[in-house]
Amino acid sequence: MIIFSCFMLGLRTKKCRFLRVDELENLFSCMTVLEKEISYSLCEIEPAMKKLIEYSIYTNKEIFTGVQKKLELSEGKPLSQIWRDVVNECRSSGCYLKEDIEVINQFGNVLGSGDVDTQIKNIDIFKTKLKEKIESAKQTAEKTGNLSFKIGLYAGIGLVIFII
Amino acid sequence: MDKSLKKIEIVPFLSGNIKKLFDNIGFNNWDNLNELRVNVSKPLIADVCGERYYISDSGLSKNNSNSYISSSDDINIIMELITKSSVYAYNRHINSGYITLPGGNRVGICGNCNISDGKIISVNEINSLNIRISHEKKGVGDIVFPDIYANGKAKNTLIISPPGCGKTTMLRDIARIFSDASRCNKIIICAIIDERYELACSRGGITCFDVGDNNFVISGCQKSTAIPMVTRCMSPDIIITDELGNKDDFKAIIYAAKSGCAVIASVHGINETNHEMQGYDVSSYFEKIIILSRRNGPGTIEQIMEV
Repeated sequence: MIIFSCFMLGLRTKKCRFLRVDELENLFSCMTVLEKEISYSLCEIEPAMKKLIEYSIYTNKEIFTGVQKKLELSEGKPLSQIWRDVVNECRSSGCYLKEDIEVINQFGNVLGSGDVDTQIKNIDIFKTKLKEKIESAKQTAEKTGNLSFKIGLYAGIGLVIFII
Repeated sequence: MDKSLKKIEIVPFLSGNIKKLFDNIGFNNWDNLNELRVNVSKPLIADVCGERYYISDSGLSKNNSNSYISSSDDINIIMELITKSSVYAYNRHINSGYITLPGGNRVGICGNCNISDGKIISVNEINSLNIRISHEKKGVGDIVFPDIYANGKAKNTLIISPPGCGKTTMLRDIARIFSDASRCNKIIICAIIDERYELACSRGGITCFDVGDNNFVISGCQKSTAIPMVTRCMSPDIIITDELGNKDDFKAIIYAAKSGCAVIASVHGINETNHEMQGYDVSSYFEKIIILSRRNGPGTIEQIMEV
């Protein structure tokens, strides 16, 4: 049981490392969609979020769905606050690290404000930051992904030997 | 119109504090509410039935001693709600000084303007909002109809009044009446040029107001562009448009009148010698001038002049 539990923990950590890369890459693609929605059709944030839900996966889908629903309810909260609340609610279920969440929240602070050019610039800055995150996430996944899986297995065996 | 319809249209765009204030005083006169003025650090003012009142916890009053003082938070929340958190999508409207809400209601916006090449590129530090509630009053055009339609032909007509005297409401009803074939003894096609989404308030291709069955609406387009366009492409019998404001608007109107379309338009002013005419000799093109005021409430007809 102990070996199995530790093995599964290692496996989950490994999966999460790779999932983080997928989520970041997906968020990058979603931002390209958002950029088009804003620049070509001047789409408002709420319908834009609806569109992004179709393209997004895992935590991203949860974030876009949460923001869209709260905007639909129209409670008078600023978008930056809605975004931050939803991201914080979703962070526990996903594989984003604290540093990713910080960057995502920073983007939420400027989303919706300013004119179209400003929005596009903000999205471009966010995409640049995401690119950096994707590169580092890939390296981390390759380096530590398999390692955490092995560590989990060996830690389990070690723990059993220790107990015996 | 449904009594509660205006409440449904307006309340979702108010800040929590102002909503609460209206709830506390049990305000139920939404159908007669014409304006709501929200200014930072200034008393909240409502125009009900053409009279202006301060609003306090105890109700509407002409005395501002206990009136509710609007905060910048109120303005920011209202802006967040009316722009649906998407300022970029409404930037053009904000720079023009207004945003039109569903139902044809309009929010006038004042703040610090940033100018580039003589044009407003952004408005920030917004400090004043004027929520103007539109009203559909069927029948207000009946009084003027015999004057502007005779022998199967509509007359070029200009409606003049200061703001808030019912020009748009009158134009809207005139459009509806002209669309009634039984009144005109023939089918008349009107082009409604609704630059500010106030006349017909078209949303998703459907008009919020009853502007008649035989009419078509072009929305959100400058009058100077839309009028020649519809004259050439849609061959309407009448062109109806609101608030002529600059030389290009008058040029477009003259083009349409010369092309054989009857024009029914409105302009801000007190009388026919108004500065808003931009130096154009309207008498050459308009046959009738209707002057409105608020003397006996919005829509009071002061004069119908033959030019």
